[in-house]
Amino acid sequence: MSGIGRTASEKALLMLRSLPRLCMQNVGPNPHAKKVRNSRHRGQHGGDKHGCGNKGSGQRQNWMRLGYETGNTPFYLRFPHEPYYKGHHLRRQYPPLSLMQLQKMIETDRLDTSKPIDLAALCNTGIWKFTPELLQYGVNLTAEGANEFKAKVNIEVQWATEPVIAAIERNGGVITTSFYDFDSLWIMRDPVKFFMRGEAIPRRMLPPEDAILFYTGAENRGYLADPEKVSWERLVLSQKYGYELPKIEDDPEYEMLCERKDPRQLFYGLEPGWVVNIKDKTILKPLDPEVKEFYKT
Amino acid sequence: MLTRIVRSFSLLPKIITPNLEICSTQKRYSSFGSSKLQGEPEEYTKFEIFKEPPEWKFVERLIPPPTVPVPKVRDVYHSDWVPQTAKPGKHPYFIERTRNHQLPVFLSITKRGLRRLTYVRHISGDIWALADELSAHLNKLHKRNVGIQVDEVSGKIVFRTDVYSDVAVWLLKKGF
Repeated sequence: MSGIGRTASEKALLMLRSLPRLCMQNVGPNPHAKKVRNSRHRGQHGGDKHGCGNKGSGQRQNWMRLGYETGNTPFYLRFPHEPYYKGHHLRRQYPPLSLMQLQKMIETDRLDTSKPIDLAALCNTGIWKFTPELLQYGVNLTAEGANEFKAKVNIEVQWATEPVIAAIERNGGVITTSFYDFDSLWIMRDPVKFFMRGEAIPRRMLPPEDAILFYTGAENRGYLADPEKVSWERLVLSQKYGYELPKIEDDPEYEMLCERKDPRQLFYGLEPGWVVNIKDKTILKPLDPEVKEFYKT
Repeated sequence: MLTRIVRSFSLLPKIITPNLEICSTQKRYSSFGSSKLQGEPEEYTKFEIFKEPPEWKFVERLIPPPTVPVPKVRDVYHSDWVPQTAKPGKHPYFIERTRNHQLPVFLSITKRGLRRLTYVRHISGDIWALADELSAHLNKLHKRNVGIQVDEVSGKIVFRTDVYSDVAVWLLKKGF
């Protein structure tokens, strides 16, 4: 790719191709096109200020010391801070629940392992609770007591780490991490109170931008992840932690372990848009196709 | 004066009722339940009512039990919880579990961690016998006299330090 035998215009075009796009920042006079006058003015201008201005540090040549900001506290003397907790009052919180506490809840029959466990089931125990007004967005299942954990559960939490996922899957259980938006959290906290209000079950909103990556990750068992990738990650984790992955297909509770919610669904088996009447034991389902379409998407 | 005003009003032409669509202001009701019906019920979206449909079992899941369930007896317990095995009458005293089936031993930390009190509650029977036994056990463990307060009326013993785990282990060993 040599430039031999090319004309000057071809060379110029070739060069132009590798140069950045022409813009106001690039446009300027050619080098040495502008004549800079170095000498002092002559003649009638000989008694002027010679470019040093009138009064001040410029004329007196006594410039400020380096870093002086004319009365401001200089940047190197200002209060040093590293804002690790910037915006902490806006961040999502996940109050913890340890695997030991979960085991205890199961053994004291506060939780029923024959049914999937979700945020509503945890709140219905009456022992564990969370406050959405403090931006608590659900449960963080922690690894304390992971070695002693011996329950087979289908659990849905909002935050879980790798050892927790391993502890649950080692015992033949299933774990999903899922997100609930602010309005849904209040409903999950007390579903019966919500049904009493006589409102239609809303659809669940998708996670915010900074949580998308977590909830679409198969390694986090996110509810928006590809199920095939999740099953692959289950195998990967079993090999990493050195346990034999129990086959869910052969499990007698296969149906229960496969129960999952739709990303738009709040409760297992109940679709958004339905109205539940606890008193009359009835469910009101909308017939209008437009309303149905709204709650589906 | 007043009569003149009234007369002047009576002379005025009748006020025409304004167009409601133009003059009505938006009203925000505090909740869906307290809001008025907007238009005829026939104009509302159609729905179907199902009496106890197959999906009702999912609703029943969401209804919490009215009382704390009594734990079923299991062969093995993997958590730190064990059921009470001691029956009343086995010892001269009896300690009832809390409503959540937990040991009624509590630790209160106040005065920025300086004051630590360990409470044992729900004691019935000979509370003094229990106080003597527990106190002897703790004095031997800590090699000093652990401060103790016995409240016979409310069936409560208070220790003046953090002896929570020592008391809990001792009580569990006794079957409480």
